[in-house]
Amino acid sequence: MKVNHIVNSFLDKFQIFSNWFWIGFIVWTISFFAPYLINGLDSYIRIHDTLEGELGWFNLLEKSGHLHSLSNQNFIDTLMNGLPRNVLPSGYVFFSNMLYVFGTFYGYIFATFIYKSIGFISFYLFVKKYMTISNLNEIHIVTITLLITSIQFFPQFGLSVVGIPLLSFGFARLYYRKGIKTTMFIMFLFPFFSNFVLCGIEMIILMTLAIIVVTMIDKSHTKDWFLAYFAYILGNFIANIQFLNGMLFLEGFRSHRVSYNTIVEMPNFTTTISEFFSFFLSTHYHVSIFISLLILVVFMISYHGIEKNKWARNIMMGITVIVGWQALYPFIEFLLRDIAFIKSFHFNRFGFVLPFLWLTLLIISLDIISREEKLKRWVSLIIFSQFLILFFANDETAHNYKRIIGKDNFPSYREYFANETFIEIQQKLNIQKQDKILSICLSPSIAQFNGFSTLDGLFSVYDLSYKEKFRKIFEKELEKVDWKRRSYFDNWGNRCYVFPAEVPLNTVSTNLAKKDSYKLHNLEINSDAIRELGGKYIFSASEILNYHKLKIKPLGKFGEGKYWKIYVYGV
Amino acid sequence: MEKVNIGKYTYMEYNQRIRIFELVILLACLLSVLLAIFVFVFLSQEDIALMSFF
Repeated sequence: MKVNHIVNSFLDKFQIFSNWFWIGFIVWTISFFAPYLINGLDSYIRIHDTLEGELGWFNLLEKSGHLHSLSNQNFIDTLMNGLPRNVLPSGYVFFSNMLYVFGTFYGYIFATFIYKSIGFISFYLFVKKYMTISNLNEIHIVTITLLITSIQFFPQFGLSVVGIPLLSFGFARLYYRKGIKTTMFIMFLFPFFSNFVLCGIEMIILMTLAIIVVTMIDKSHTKDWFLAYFAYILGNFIANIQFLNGMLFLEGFRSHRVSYNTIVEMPNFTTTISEFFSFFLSTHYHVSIFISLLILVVFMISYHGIEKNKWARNIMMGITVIVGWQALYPFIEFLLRDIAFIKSFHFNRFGFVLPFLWLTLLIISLDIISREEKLKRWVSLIIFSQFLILFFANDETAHNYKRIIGKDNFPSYREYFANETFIEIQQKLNIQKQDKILSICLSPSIAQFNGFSTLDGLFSVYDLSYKEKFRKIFEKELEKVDWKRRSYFDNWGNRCYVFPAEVPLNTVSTNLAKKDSYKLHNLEINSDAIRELGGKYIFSASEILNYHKLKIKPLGKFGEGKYWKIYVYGV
Repeated sequence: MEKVNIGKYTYMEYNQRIRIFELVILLACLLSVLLAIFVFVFLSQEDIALMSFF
């Protein structure tokens, strides 16, 4: 009897989900997995900050056995001059453990599906429980909430973008004084599924402001807000304990970020205006390429033509403030450029809430429009158009569907890491673990992923003194290029790569010197500096024609006919 | 017909407004779909940073 009661009360909780919701969920699941099932390991996974960044880092952490270690004494010896483990991302978040359990490829895909599903479910619950939607029918509500699954986002940042409906659901529970235990549970768990830098710190700032307001307005209700606040901070603390430990207590290490100088001159008005509209109409690619033109038009019609809804107005004001702050932030960065903390941490990253705000604005505006019989018939077309633009602006989706029809010219997961080629290199040259590799026109993450030690890499934090030593390897190449290109390494430098002057910067920074497309006629690198740092081999995706002048010797070319043709040189 | 009022508008004014709204919605949808097709055909990894300027 008791079991029956528990089962019934559990099933009652599912009553809120309509049949259309489940149909939507099934359609979403099939459409998500279909390209991966068809393409298999030949699926496309984003290179930018993903294959070349986080996915490679987690792979290295797993191989080194330091994924979950806490001590500041642990170093990844195969990277640079030994990279402290605690400057790399947390091993206690959901994403890293998905990769750990399922491997890089499948872990990434499953994690993406889970994040987006959480986004969809929580957005649907938020709309059903806390929004008054009186004119839209169930199919429209399901399809609008499904839009969140179509957006381009970086799964390594977890729920930071697609999970904002879940966080809003938590805030709505606080606002309407629902049971605090569930709310605390949501707030505590959220940091384990999101990114501390992209969303955690910013959310703590926003929650602090919210608490100040709540304390001033409603003194009887502050306890719940504080409990949720502390649950969120505690969750962040545990989820990111390695990062915090490294940041606060790592000794003898000076981050290269203190030499950041990305805003070298006073920003001008034209750039600010262009930045404002760019961010307003498409957000930032790290957040999502969320093209919002159609929603803006729908909002204008509903707000200025039909009803001045206060929630729609507040959301639009919120969007404008966030976008304005983003556009004006370079002024703050420039004026406070002498403060290292301001230079190394960007306080303008509030854009992660924008996709959710835009979608909420869309649902409110469409609900108002649906009141007019003649306009109601356009609602489906509006949702479908918005779906198309989000679906195709999602680079991973676009590349995977292009791949199915045989039209994609980008490397698949298998092609990018070129495992077979690197096995062949290893078998032929028997490269030892302590022999470091320098990659040219090729992302160092590829050599790292294939088990080689590297002098170079893409890291959000590494040692400043190492950066200075590394610069000596290719300082003559830097002298040949203009200040903007030099600035990419000197004033930013997260990509600690050799940038040959003969190859366009975007080609090197995005690692796309594919299929032997460039030859290096006059490369000037310092082989003594390479040797000093422990470098023994060069892997280059471009043939170095003047190798005899550089005191390096060719050892062979590998990967004939593959995506990468790799020339190996001994130093 | 013109004397029938809907809110603060006459019937004709109301119909005219709705027709303009319909036209604007149609144009915005069309533009979005064209943009979607453009993005699908021309999108490349190298453009990902440039995408934020759409």
